[in-house]
Amino acid sequence: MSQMTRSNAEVSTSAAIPAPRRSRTVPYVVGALGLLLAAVPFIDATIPGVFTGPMSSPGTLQILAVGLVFAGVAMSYDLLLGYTGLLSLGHAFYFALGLYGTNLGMRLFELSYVPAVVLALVFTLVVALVFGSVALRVRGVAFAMVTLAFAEAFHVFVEADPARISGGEEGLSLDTSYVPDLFTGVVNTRWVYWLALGFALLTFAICRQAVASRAGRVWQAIRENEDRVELLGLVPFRFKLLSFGLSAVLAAGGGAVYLLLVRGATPGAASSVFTLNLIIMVVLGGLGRLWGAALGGLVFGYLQLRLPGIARSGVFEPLPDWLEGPLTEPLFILGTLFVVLVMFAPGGLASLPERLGLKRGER
Amino acid sequence: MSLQVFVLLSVTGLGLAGVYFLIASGLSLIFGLMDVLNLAHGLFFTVGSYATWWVMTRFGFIGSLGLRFAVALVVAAAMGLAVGWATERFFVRRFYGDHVTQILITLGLSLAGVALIGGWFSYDPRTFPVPELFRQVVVIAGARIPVSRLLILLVSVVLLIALLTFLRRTRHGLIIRAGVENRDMVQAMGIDVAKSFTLVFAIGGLLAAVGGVLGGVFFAGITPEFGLNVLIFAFIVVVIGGLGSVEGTALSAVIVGLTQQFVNFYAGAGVGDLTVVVLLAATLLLRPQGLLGEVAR
Amino acid sequence: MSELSLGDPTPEPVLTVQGMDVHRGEAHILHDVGFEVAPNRVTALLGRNGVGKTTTLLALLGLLPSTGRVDFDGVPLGDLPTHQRVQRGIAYVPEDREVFAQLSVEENLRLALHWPGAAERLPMVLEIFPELDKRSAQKAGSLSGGQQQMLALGRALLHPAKLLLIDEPTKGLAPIIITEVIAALRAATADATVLLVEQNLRVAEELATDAIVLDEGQVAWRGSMAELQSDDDRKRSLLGVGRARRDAP
Repeated sequence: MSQMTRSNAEVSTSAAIPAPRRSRTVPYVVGALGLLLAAVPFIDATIPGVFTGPMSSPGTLQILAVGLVFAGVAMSYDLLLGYTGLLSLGHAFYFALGLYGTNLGMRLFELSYVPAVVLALVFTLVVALVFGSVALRVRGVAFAMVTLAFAEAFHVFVEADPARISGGEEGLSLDTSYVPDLFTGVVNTRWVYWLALGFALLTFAICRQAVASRAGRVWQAIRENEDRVELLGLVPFRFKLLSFGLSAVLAAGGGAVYLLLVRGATPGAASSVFTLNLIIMVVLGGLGRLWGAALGGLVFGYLQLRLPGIARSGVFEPLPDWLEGPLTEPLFILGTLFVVLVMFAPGGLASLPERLGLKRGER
Repeated sequence: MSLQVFVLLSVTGLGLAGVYFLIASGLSLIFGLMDVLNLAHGLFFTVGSYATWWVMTRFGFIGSLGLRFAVALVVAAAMGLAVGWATERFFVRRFYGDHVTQILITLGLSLAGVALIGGWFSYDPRTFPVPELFRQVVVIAGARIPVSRLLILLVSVVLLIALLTFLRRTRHGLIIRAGVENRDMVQAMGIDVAKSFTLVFAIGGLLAAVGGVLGGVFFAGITPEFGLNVLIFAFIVVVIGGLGSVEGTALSAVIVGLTQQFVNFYAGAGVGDLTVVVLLAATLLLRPQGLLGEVAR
Repeated sequence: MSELSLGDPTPEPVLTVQGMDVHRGEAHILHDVGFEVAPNRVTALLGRNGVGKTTTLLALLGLLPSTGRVDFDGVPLGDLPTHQRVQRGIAYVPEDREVFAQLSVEENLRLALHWPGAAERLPMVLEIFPELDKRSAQKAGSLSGGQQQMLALGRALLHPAKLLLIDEPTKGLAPIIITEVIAALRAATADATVLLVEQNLRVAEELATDAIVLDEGQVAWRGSMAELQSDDDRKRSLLGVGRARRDAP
């Protein structure tokens, strides 16, 4: 016990293990990547096998935009799981609140898109603070179960639709008359794509600032040892709630962009399967590394949308039926890849360069 | 409310409780003993459902549907046992003490396993033929109760008694009960608690697979994702009942099953499900250790 | 280190610990701990609160990871898991008793009946602790602190162990119960090899012949209990006692 009462300074610095990997090069790499991605709608070249159409085609931009939204939402989830150590199984709830909230704001209150998004984000924040303060009364696995239950309640609510507003199982399509013309129609897919890119970059910037702030360092101290944070006279609950609220609002922002991408809100976005997919994205990329989570989101979005096409193209046809069937299921490949990564490369994709000896290990 | 409706809803609710209990009891024991939140438990359920479908539709050489169903029950139980055993032996065991990795692995197994079943059998809902007896009704207090409901209830109660007898009367059961309380101390008495881990996973797999069989009968159809949906309610049952307590799980399953049936019937579909979540929130706020849980973890 | 005399012409020690280090998270709890436990006598492991006494026992049992070398009964324990260490002949009476509260007294004892000869030892154990016989159907959680201690001890005695690790058997017990526990311990540990962690110096003085004193995660002193007893300065500097204690004889 005596070892636990060390000096205050220690927690703010050394307790953030693994030492904050704040590489100075990451912002430049991300910036350069952002510029490159921003230029994609002007690139008419095709990458055979990777995308079916040219880079600038709406189909390709759609896939990339979904990947970018997933990247942003995955980063928001990494704040919770990777940085604060909170295993929430209900993040889909907040993504879906942004999705449904924006849509309903336009349909019920006849707001145009931007005010509807603002309203949805404020509403999400309030809901996250209320539900978060209940769920954060318990720790660990109990927290996971409670967040799961709340999210599932919302899922049931939008699917059963007792209030006759959410469109039930069919979902609620986007009424484009409230959306700026720029973001409607297939020809304007590139504007939605740029919006998704902007969302991903903004989320990256916000998350990066947040985890480097004083609160962010406390989050990481909580992840390492919550009791000790408490012994230092800090109230972990407040910091956890802050993390919960911020990540919820960012996820809702992703939902608002996703609404334009898929032109509607369906209950699937609120399902626990979506949260489980988020976990896969974050762990695939590498827990506690924002760019890792972003990469995981991009890869996941790409694979989920492209794998069925690849499967249909007949590459698996020579295989026996019992193998061909599962291989056409994106989740079979992703799930298997995930298990292999968790078992043999716990740091995710982001750790592969180190593992393969391309970069000096930081431990 | 008329007596007939009350009796029908009660029996249906208890049937649902039986299905919940079968999946939740293994979950609760696994968590109580090993602190592992087994997200693959829904997969065990699905394995049971599809094993039954397979036997019922492909074992035409067994003429009697009743006999075929009995065979299906045994095959499903055996497959659940095998899948549960393999999950612990090849995946979970390698990561003792690392709960997050264990949760992540069971999550990946669950998604990949469901997709595997989806790839083999498609995601379309499937139905399987059931013995004629299941469709007959008996009249209890004026209510026409399908025999299948009573059968589900009977099988669940028999398994509840069998599980409790195993836990109370055998040495393995004694070690499991002791391990739920204090794993380290069991080891410090020279007992290899890891053997119990494998055993509990196998038993959990067996019970959940039988739950999958009965669930297929109860809901008159199966889909690959169905196990995951039931798993969410099983989580709720486990938390309300108290982690690691079989008796608590049984009690909680009855409460949750009846609440869901009655409220869904009288207040509209979906409201019962929401009420169950409210019950969970209330339990956590008022009694975080659950109904019969002794230790808050 | 080994030339430090323990009094008698030293017989082969049952337990030899060399260079043991234990970390818990970032905290470095034990530094290069080394000591020996001689057969057929009680060795007290003493020291102020939080110096790492319980940690030492947990590390010996493999319940906490440690580095260094531990030889038990002439064989290195290496990386053996807890249950195998215990099977080699180490019995353990933990701090705070840790009886299985939800199980009956009889079931708690039954858990230890897998040891060879345990069934034959049971009547002897029940003779030392008649309360356990009387309350065999009662849940262990409903026993008093003293009775739980008897159960924890009885359970360990069913194990034909070569070494008994006992952690603070009198912690939290009323003085009158302590006297009872000491008597029981004396009966139970006659001729046995015991490593006893004890906060209460009087209890240690009554039971132990040898002493090891830990301070800040290191072995600060080793010798005979009698030597330590007669040295008030040492007691004060290492154990913080020497002022009048309420429970001093």
